[in-house]
Amino acid sequence: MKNLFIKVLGTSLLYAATTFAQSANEIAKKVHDLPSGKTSSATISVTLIDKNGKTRNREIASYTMKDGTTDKTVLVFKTPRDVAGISYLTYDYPDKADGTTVDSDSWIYLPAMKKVRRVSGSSKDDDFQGTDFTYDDLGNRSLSKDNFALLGEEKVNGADCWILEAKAKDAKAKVSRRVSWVDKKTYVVQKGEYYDKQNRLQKTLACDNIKQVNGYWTTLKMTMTNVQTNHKTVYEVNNLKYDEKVNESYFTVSALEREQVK
Amino acid sequence: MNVARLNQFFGKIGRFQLRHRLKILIALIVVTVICSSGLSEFALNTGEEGWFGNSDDITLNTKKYEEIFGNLNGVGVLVVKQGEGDVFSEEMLKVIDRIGTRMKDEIPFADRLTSIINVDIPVGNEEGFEIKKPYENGIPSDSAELANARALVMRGNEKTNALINSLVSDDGRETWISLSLLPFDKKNLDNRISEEPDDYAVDIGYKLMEIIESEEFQNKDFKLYGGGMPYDNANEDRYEVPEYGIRVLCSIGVMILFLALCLRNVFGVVVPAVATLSAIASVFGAMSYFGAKADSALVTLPVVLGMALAVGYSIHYIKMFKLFFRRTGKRKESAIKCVEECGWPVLFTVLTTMASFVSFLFVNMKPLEWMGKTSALVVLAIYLYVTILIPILLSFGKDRAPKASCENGATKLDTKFSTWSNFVYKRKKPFIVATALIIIAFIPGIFKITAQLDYLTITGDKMPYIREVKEMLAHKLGNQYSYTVMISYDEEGSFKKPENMKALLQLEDYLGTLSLTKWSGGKARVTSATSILKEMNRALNEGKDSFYTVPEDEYVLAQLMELSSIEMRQDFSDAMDEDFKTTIVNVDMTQFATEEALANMNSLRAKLAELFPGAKCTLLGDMIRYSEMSNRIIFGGLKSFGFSLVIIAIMLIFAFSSLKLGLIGMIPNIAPVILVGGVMGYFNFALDFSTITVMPLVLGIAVDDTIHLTTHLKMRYEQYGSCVKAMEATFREIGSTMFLTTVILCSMFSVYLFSPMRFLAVLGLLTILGLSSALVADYTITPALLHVAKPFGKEKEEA
Repeated sequence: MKNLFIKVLGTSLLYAATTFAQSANEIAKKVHDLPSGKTSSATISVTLIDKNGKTRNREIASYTMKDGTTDKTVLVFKTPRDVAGISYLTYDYPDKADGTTVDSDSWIYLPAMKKVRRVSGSSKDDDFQGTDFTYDDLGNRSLSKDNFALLGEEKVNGADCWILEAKAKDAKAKVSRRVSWVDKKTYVVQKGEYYDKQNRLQKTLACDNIKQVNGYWTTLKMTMTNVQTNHKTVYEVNNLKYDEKVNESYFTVSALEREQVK
Repeated sequence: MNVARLNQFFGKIGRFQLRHRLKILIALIVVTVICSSGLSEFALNTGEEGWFGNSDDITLNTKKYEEIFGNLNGVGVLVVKQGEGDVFSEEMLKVIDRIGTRMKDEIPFADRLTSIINVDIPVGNEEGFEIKKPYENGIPSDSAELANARALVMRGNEKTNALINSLVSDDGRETWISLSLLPFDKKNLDNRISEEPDDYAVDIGYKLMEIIESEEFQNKDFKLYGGGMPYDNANEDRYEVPEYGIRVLCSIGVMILFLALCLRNVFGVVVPAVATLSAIASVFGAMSYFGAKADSALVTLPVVLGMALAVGYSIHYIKMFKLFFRRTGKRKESAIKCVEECGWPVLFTVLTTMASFVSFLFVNMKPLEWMGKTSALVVLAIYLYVTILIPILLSFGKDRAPKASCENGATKLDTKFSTWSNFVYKRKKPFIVATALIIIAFIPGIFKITAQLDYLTITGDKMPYIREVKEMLAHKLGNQYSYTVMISYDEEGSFKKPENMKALLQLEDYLGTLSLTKWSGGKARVTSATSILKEMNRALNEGKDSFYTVPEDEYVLAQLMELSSIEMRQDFSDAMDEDFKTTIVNVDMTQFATEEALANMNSLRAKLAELFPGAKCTLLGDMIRYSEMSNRIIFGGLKSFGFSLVIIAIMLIFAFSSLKLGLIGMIPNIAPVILVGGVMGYFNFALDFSTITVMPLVLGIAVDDTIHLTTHLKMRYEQYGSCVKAMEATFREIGSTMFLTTVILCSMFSVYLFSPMRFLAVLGLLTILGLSSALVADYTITPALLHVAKPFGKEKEEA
């Protein structure tokens, strides 16, 4: 679950690179490699909106830390009442040299059962926490999984963008094609479209409130709409802090058990 | 009402028609061309979706379901291994995988696929739990790996594994590949499907058919069966619509043949045929302009009926013309005379027939409403075309010398009918007694009539796809009918309360006890959110089977439900809404036995009220639609028949200005209906969407002959003042015409007798029985009653 709440980051240092014609693969790599902080903490607000406009909100406290090449994340549900205290701890590992992904390690703590259980088997293309986002949508999808192409250029939210297409190499992938509008200056994605196996538009991503926080480009509000079911999820990041000291013991199984992370 | 005066009025119309014959012909051609051009918009409704209107409770409940849970429809393929082995071999798994891939790739509106290849299995161990996919890394070739994957899918038994005898049979020889569908919304549409929303389901069904029947899946090692409403609709479209076409073509052939045989001239064949086809094309075309879609199962009825009635009306006009033409040899006068003599009785029969079809508007079922409305309009159009075209076209040509050999223009056959009237007069009382005895004998049969809407039974085994469905149903996992119970509370989180979840578990147990619930092995085919909760609870408790339960502690239950909605969102959201206040239970059924199904539904409703007192409980799905259809067919049929009976009686009383004559006129028409009802009861021909039309139809058509007979009789009585003489003249003048029209009507309905579709054959049989018995009644009981009752008052001769 790399960079859980950061879809895309960028720095002004990359600006110079845009003056040269770049290939789709180069752009994809730059988007993929946008820097983020060594630690972060934030409160995430996830709002689920059904087709009738009815909303359901969940507040999640989030902490991340880079430990060598491992990205560690702790999520603690704050609301609603019935989920309060449910916590997830995840260790994400970098891709292998041949480009293949390494499975994450995850644990869940359920206060009602007072138990920590190891969770495995969640696929990157599964829903993230019951939302319209997948782990892939929020994390950094491995570059080796797609073939990239540039479809053109367009202005989005006032920014000049490349239209970058990523076609899944796996014929059985749930999302066959992702189209992103990538800001030429910052490499931050401004909006996205996701197509299903039959190449029908399935989801659209709208990015708002894109800011530099502690020098890192961060998208603070994302809205993913499943246009096929008319269900949407608004994902907002509040109180975001980068590179501040985070208690390392938070990222342990025993911290979950002791309900240490609040 | 004085018949002579009415005839004078129609005589004036006849003269007007002939005076302006060219202008009228041109106007009729223009109207026909304009209306018929609407035929390009003609479309058929298949399936039972169209049975209910937009404001109908069934439609509203379905919409509510679809707002929360998505499309109620889905498609599936049942894979059955033939010969040795099971579906877990490498070859079979590849086939299942390939079918699933093609379904997901090719079927429009495809959403989520479920098969043993991609099913999520939460597995608990001492450390935690894992959501496993048995073939996540592809289908193995190694026998040990294959065995491991099989063991994962088939772990435990049917009581502790939700997949066994649901997704896969306990012997591993049968498995379902299911595909849920996205809402039928244009934005989810791609270019491989019709632009017409009503055709989406049929197009989806055809696509599934194409996959199942493709070359790559023709193999003696396995058999594939399609399932789901879209697949059924496509089968209807594939096998039934052509069958309806064949019946209509046969009817046209029979009509032409009988016109040629009876009238023995080209004019007599061509003119009624042209009038009929023009009238039907105009009505169907005009209705298509207004977007009215024909019902596929009933579309032939107005067409065949229209042709039959057109022949009847034409014969009355042509025979009357011939009668006068033989007498006078004057063509124009004979044409006017035929309008004068036939105009009123034919118009009156048109009005009564229309009234009997209008009665279907009270049934509250769209196909029957469509059939009633269309038939009534077809009857009216046929009347207009026949009565406008025939006198005008008959008036063209030269006059001839009158035929002196014919007494009053009558043929030998006419004279025999005249003799028959005396035969009845002399034996009037035995005829009345015999009729009364027959009616009494058939009345108990009416109370034995049952309703039947099981499509398999109604359609019969002669249709190939019905045989296929029956074969599929014989398998352990085979399934055709299902229904859904939707339980909805107002308060959010209601199903996090253990007492409500306990009630849900009790409901599942209760559903298993209902007589029509399908059982596979030792497991009732009832599915709900509880199976996911049980799986998750077990997975979180080291995989111990003792935890394959729904927790009773409120906090644990609430958290488990939240966790299920997070970790298994898609599966869980199929059965529980996001607010945990609405849930559904799906139930598969063995068959659809109408009365038993209604009894099952009634006791289920009572149980729901007992278990969920504060909730709104709704029943949805094929089986509920069928139950509701049965209900409406029975009550709607009775209402329709009652309405047509009353309206026709009122019309007869009004037309004859005599209560006595009106009621006497009803007896020979009610008698055939009782006969038909008795036969239905005694011979177990149940009421269905087709047979329900027979009684009002027989009443509506049979009354035509009674009207012709009575009107003619009254006219001759006004002339002669003697009932016996009037009856003799009436039988001589229209006896053979009544015979011919009934023979032609019966012959046209006989095309149904040879249909491989059972309900059409039964419809043909009962209609022929009703119409022929009505004719017999008009030759026997009608004159006998008229002789006894003397409704026209004192006879002149007696005075």
